[in-house]
Amino acid sequence: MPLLKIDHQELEVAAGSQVLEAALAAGIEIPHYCYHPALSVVGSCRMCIVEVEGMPKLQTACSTPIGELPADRKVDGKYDMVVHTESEKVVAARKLMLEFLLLNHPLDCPVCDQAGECFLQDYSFKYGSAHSRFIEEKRVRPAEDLGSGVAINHDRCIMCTRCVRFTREITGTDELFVMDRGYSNRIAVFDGLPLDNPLAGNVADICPVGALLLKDYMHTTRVWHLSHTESVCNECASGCSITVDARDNKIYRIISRENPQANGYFICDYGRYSFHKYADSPLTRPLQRTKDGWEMIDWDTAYRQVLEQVQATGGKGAVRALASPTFPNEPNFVLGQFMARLSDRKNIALLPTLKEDDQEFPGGFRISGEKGGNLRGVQAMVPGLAAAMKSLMRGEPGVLIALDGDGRAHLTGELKRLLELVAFKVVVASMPSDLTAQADLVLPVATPYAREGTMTNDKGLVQWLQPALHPAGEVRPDWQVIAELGQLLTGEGHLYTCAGDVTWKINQTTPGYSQITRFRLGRTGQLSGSEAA
Amino acid sequence: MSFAFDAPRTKRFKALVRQYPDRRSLALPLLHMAQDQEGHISRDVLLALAEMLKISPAELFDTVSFYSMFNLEPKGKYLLQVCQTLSCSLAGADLVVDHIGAKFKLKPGETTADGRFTLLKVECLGSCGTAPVVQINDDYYEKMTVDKVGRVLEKLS
Amino acid sequence: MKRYQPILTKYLDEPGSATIDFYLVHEGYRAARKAILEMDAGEIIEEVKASGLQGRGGAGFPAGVKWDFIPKNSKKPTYLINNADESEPGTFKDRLLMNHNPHQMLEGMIIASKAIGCHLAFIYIRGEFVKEARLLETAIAECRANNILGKGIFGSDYNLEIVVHRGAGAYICGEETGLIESLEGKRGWPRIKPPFPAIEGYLKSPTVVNNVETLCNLPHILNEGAAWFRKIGASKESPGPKLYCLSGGVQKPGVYEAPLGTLLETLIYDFAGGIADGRELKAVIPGGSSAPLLKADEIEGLKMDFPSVKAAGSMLGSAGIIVLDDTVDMVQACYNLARFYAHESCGQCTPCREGTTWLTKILARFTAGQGRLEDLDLILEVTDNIGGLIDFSQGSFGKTICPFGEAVAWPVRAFVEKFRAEFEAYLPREALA
Repeated sequence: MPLLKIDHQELEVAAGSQVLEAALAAGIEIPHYCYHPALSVVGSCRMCIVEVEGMPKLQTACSTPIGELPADRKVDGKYDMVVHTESEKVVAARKLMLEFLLLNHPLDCPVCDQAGECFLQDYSFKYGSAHSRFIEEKRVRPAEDLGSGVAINHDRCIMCTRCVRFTREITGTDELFVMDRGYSNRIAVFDGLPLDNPLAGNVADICPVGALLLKDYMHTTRVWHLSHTESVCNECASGCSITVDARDNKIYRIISRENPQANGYFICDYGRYSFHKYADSPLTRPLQRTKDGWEMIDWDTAYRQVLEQVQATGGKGAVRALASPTFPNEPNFVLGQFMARLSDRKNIALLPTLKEDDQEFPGGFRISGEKGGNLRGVQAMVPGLAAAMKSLMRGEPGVLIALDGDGRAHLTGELKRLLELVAFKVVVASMPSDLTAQADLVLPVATPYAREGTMTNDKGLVQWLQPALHPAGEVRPDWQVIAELGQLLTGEGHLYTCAGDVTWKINQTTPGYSQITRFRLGRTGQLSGSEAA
Repeated sequence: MSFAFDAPRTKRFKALVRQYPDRRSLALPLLHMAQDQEGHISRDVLLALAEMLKISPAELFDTVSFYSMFNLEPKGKYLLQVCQTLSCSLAGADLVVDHIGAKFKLKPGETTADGRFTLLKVECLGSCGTAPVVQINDDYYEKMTVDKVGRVLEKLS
Repeated sequence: MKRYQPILTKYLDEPGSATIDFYLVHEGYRAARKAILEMDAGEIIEEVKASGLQGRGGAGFPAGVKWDFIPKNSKKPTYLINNADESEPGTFKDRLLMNHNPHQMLEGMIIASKAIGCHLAFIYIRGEFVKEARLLETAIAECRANNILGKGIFGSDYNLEIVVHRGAGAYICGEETGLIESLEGKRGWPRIKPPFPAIEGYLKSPTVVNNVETLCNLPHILNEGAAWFRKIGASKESPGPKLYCLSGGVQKPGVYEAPLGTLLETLIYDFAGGIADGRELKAVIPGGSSAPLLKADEIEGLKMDFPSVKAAGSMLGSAGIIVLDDTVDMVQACYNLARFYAHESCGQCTPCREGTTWLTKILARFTAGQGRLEDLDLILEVTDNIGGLIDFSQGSFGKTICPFGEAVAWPVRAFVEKFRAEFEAYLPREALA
């Protein structure tokens, strides 16, 4: 393998890899705009220029491949390439490149949404000049709507073409293009064919400056006021890594978080904007159905109700439960445990959720058609779920405890029959839904972005969900509510202290999860089961 | 209104498909043919050609808008393109532009009200030895003077 | 000394020189026939390498060496592209070659195709040359009718088709990777290299791009031999016939054929009849607008071949010689060229897209009498930031993807450095106070 020396660091790199790629992998920052690891290399911003020993001209690190030199031609007797990223020549050139990029830039950072996470700002801070030598009139172009909730501010665009390459190479939808030539170049959509694909929001994420903006987020807050929570999207079984940006217990946006084992670099717009539907859930206290409608009650009253109903309707043997693929592993695991104690898991089945076709994109991104995001996880937590619905139809009418699907439960014919058959329906839910509408008792739990625990995507990757919000009102964590119900009904069972406590129990008892611990999951998760090998 | 090639051009298109090793390479030839037929490249032309080329209209527009010869708006029946780059400029191209401008009351970039003449200042036409040069539609008129360009225009009007 | 007999433009003034009948009568296609029937690819490459033929498009790269970069056992098809996108201001020789003797060029293309194993070649001709494109189509049809193009040419088993492909108005498509992108039906944005076209060119296949004039030399090299070719001109390193384009302030502008290494003064004063209207020579752009201009006193004894012009601080380029006489306003001339480059910048990479327009805006302000003294240094710095310092001894230092950066930086810089006083004369009086 070629030996590369970057500044004072030695790196062994794969032959043929580019200097920038190798540097970034080793944590060495070389300023760049047009380079993006998921996109083709164009070398057009000229920001990543570096000095390579033996080459008189500065080279763009993104397009300088490292090869192996014959033994007698090695630099300093051992290196295949020696690169300087902060030499006087490089820093000077970089400064001048920034000057070019800022000639027509409006410098409207005080009102720009990108401010605080803008690579023009950051590199200017590091390499730029406080004073511009450009005294000509700046070019002014009106902002435009590109479609799919994305707007462009042309004045801030630096023509890196990441967005154009994204719609060509990743989505294959080709909506964006470069119009005109030279100084008149600009990003455009064809008249009548706006940006229209379910990954469109990513163009704003990958825009290194404040040119492409999500209208949903525009002018709503300043990025430095946001807290960034690393979590996982559970809108489908792809389980994309995300960062949830919130302030004052309100989510302002969700952006993609790089994870080579899961989503790569991108997320879909369903996931991106999913937080809106969970905002301000009215379920803040347990609700009991009365003949006049819903009545708010306290948790003790609610639990007492459950117990009375179990005793009145066929006893513990008639208690049925629905585990949910839209909930994390932890509540499902606890539910499976106490149902095992109650009736040897004969009375637990899977809540049906919507199943559509997968959406695959040329760049490899996939939106799973399985809308129960944690399907694989729930199946591991509660063995034998798949064909269990029929067995729930037998026996006396009793109490049903259902984990709702955040409004994503699919009311199939089978589920409807079950709902008719049972005498008393307890729905553990974060959101009002078709299912809660039929409930006798609703126990409110945290909404998806207020949850903590683990999720297993359809490739078996287990990731940690970090809560970005505090639960509202008297809402309790899902695992806690299930554990409390379990203790109430079985008179025994462990009352866990936190979600991680349940995760540890899963680790101890669940096949395929012996490698899964909170610590090991880290930021990007860990494969479960046989995939771990 | 949709666009389609006329019969001879359709035949030419089919011949081109056989000549070229891939479809997208036909972009420039087809655009030239379409502009020849229609006078300019309209939205309908772009939509139809994109389909023939098997690319998105956006990708085709990306190509079209790069080249100075493709007109996205209708131009006059006679497109008067006066070269203004160095050799032509030294040889008096500005006088020619001024003369045409005065004759038709046109500024460069404009078209006469009757739609007959469009005046454009363009960059090097590759005929510096016979400067100044004016391209009128497909033909070069070389070593132009105010008198000579006047005579050429008389014949056209 | 015996007067030089034109080789490439021998039949320039003869009627009917563009027809195949004329060409065949004058021993046309003898070299192509030999290349197809009697020589293998390696022999042709060796002959052309031995001749020392350098590319006539501007860079002067040895043609045979360029062919040799083509992988020998490629599974992909190999393409030859004839670069007839003549767009460098001051250059108008290829149009003449195509107009008066298209078959000479087609014969060159047959030879080059055989050398690199190409069976489908393109002529990328600038879009404005409508007449020339039609003429080439006719010439190709004549060839097909005579078994010189098409299947089994000259009775061999070698197939070759040539397609005329018109550009559409973009200077940058003269740059070979911009040209390839354009041929592929895209905007002419030059590619980053490596990979070079010889490995991944048109449709990612091995591709050679040769200029019209380069190709026109090939029949003569095969007919007369490499040794004969080497002897033409002043220097064995840079031999052969050359078409020089003279425009600007000369008595008789036009294309003149003379050997490489002919004195620039001979070209200006003998061939082109000297400076027009009894004016004085002020400066010369020797190799197309991208070449830094030389002041009158810098051209004394200057031989017009690749190494000599380079040594004088400019380049032979396309041999587009623009003569500037003492009436030329150098500030206006500089502005004119800067505006050309700003208009033609493809806009792909930052320094060129932003820098060319910045230069033009500064110069526009200057010509409007609103310059500042510090603008002159600013212009020099901006040109450095686009095209790198002008130091031919060290190679090029451009900061752009393609040589366009140098092409704009060098001439603008030369104007300001060499005629600074004229720029200063444009300053408003208060700027000098």
